Amino acid sequence: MSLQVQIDAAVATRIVVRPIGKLDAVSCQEFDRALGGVLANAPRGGTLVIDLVDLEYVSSAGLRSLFRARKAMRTNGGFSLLVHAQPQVRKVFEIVKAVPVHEIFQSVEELDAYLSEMQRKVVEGDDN
Amino acid sequence: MNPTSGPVLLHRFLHPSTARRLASWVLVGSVCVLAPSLALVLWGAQQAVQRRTGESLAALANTSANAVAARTSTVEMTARIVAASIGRRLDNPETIESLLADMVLAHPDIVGIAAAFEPNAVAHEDTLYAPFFFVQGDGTVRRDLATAPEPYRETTWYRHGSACEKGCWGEIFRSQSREQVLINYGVPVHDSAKRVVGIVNVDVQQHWLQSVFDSAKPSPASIAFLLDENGQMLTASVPNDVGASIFDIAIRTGTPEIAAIARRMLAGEAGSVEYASPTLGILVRTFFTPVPGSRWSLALVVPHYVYIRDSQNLFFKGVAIGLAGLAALGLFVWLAVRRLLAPLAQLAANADHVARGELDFHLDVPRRADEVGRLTQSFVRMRDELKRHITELTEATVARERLQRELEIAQHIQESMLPKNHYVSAGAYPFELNALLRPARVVGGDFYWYVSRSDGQLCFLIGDVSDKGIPAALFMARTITQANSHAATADRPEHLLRQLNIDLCARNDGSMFVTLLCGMLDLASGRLSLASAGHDAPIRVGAGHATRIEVESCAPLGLYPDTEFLGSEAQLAPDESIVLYTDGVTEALDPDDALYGEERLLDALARCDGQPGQTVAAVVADVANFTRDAAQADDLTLLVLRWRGPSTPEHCLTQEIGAQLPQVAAALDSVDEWLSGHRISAELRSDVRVALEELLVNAVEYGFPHGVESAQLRTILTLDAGTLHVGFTDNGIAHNPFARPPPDLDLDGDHRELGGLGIFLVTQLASEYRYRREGDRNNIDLSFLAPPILQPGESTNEPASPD
Repeated sequence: MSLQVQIDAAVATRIVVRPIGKLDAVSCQEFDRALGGVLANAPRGGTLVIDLVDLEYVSSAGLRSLFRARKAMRTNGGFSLLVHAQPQVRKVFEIVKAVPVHEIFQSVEELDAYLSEMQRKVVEGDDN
Repeated sequence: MNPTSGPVLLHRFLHPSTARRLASWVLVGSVCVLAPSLALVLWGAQQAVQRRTGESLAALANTSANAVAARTSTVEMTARIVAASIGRRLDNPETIESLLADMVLAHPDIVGIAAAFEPNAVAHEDTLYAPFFFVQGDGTVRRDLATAPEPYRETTWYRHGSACEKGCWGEIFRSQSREQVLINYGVPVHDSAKRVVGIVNVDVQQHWLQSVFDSAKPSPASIAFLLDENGQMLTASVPNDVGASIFDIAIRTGTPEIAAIARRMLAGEAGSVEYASPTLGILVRTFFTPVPGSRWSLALVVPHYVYIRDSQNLFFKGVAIGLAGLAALGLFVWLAVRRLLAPLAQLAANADHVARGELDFHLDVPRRADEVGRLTQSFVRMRDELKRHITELTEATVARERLQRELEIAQHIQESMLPKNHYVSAGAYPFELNALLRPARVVGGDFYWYVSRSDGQLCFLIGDVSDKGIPAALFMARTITQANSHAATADRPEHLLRQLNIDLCARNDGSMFVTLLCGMLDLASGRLSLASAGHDAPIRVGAGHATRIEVESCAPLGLYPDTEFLGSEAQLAPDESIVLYTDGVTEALDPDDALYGEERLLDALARCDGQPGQTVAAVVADVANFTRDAAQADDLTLLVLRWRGPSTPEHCLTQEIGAQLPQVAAALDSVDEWLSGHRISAELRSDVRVALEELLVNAVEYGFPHGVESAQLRTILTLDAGTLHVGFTDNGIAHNPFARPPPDLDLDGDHRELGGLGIFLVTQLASEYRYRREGDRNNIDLSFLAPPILQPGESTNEPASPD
């Protein structure tokens, strides 16, 4: 197959999904299927990290799958993040302005810093 | 006074108005004409006045002389009467004495009277008898001259008087006893025997003579004098001169003119002489005249200025009157001219208004029918005409601009009726077409048109309507519309022409016609069918050669509905081009009206490298170089079609699949592999893959709602000179994906519609994209700029494949 999906759900609140290969009109169904189970079991308010480091190709059908995953997380009170977009994928994202820029991270470190910031905001919100 | 008035006045002085100049010239002319006349008249008048002055002065001298004569004659008469009376009374001394005493009192001018006798002439006791009575106070005094120390018979006055037959005036003398200056007049006394027995001597005062002159003097500076027959001064302005000889005075004063005058006076002449008087220091004129009844002569000395005073006065008055007259004339002329020319000044000011474009000014039209009045009326008429003209011009400009806008719209409409001027078909039998239409006016009657038919024929045509401008444009629109409707059904060019001709002949009341060349190119074989309706034959252009393709030419379209059109055949070799043109190319004129001609066109085409775009540009440049600055006379149209021949497998990839997604994925992988084999960069391969996937998936998902059994999806990739052409054809329902508006990318990703993104990606990734529906097929052409092909050994930056 042109696409494999690795899922790391060791930490329940932080699911890392890594699509490998091409996410196109054919493989997007497989991607949807693989993610469907994870999202169904995801705790409320969790974080979905989609690591694009090994995604070499995406078309509009793939974009739609990614959008659906993000929407599902948001409906469930959580949010999703995209990291390590490769040049071709990044180009497609930029053309269609698919994702708010600040939600695409170049590296895991950048992501962690962002998550810590989010965490701090939530804690302070609780104090209030 | 404001600070500018000085320069303004200076300016007015240096540049006088017409009124002032006219007045000045009239004045100068008047002076030139009047001054000599006035001078002449004045001179004559002066001469007359001077002559009259001389005459009046001479008359005055005469009058004075007559007055002297009148006074002296009474004295003389009295003395003679007394002498006569005494002559008859010699025997009676008492009566003699009483007569003498009465007489001296009776005559106012006589201050003394004496009678002296020869010895014993009178019956008196004394031998010598000489009684003398003279006035003293209110009475008379008697003195006996016989007792005087000097014997009276030896005195000058006695001897002089007794020798003088009718009586003589004696010399002037001063009487010491009476303290008077006197003149005596002596008359001899005769006895009955007519013998001289004595004299009567009368003393007359000199001062009355002087008084006569004083009353006769014409001016205080004038002097008068009286000369006796010896040249003795009887009266004079200087008392000491009285009694002196005038000749002595002439010598003493060094004035010989006086001596000359005196000689003429003593000669009894009358006249006048002018000379410079050294004593008075001025020029004087002396008038002299003899005193009637005596040997005296009277002279009147008048200063020259008195003599000419009247004429001088006349001169000054004349000059003053002349100047005053000229001043009045100048003023009158200036006022008159100014009044006459005032409308001109107003006109000049208003002409400035007109020059500035201010036409709404008030102008008084004089009622006079003279030149100025007519000029003003003409000026007003000119202003009104100008206003009307400007209004009309403004309206005409507005109308012209509206027409211009409409023409521009018509131009756009006309341009939109023409197909694109550049068409590249990838496919199995690629071709490239370039066209150019340059109307001589905004819109024109030239046109070209082409269509790629589903049966593998490319139908193309070029035409030239018989006129230019809007009528030609409308007829051209009609021709294209009808050609369009027949192009799909006509199987040969001559059939298309026949159909078109029948259509165009109908309702063609304007008898317009169009020359037209129609061709059909079989893209698979390069076989060319041609038909011409009176149009120039096309040209075949290969590598380094250009030759005419002979075509049977028939009558132009629109004239005869029954025209039969003949077809011609030709064969194109791969990479050969066919060039169609209108007479705007071959009949382009240079400034010397020489034609560009077919030979030059053939030469230019032979030099071309075969690229249609460059061929068109080269021909246009060659024509422009030939015509130089000459205006383009006719519409100019060129169409260059280059047939590439069948595609070579190594530069072309054709795949045909059904409407199944797995087939799509396989086809995309084949494309990727083929592109990789042609060393196309990974980035471009991804771009092409995305674009092609979107088109294929789009067709699979939406193109065949009624079943996919007969679905045909064909992709053709052609690599040509740095450009990758991607052709995609399907037999699904008619659908132009590019007609859909682009998605709204500014919406948040979670809320936006998910459709439309794929086609949007295609439009963004391909450098050109085009859709057309031909027959039952959707045709989409994409172009990608292919970067230079990498040399073997260079990295293609192949991403790691997980497979």
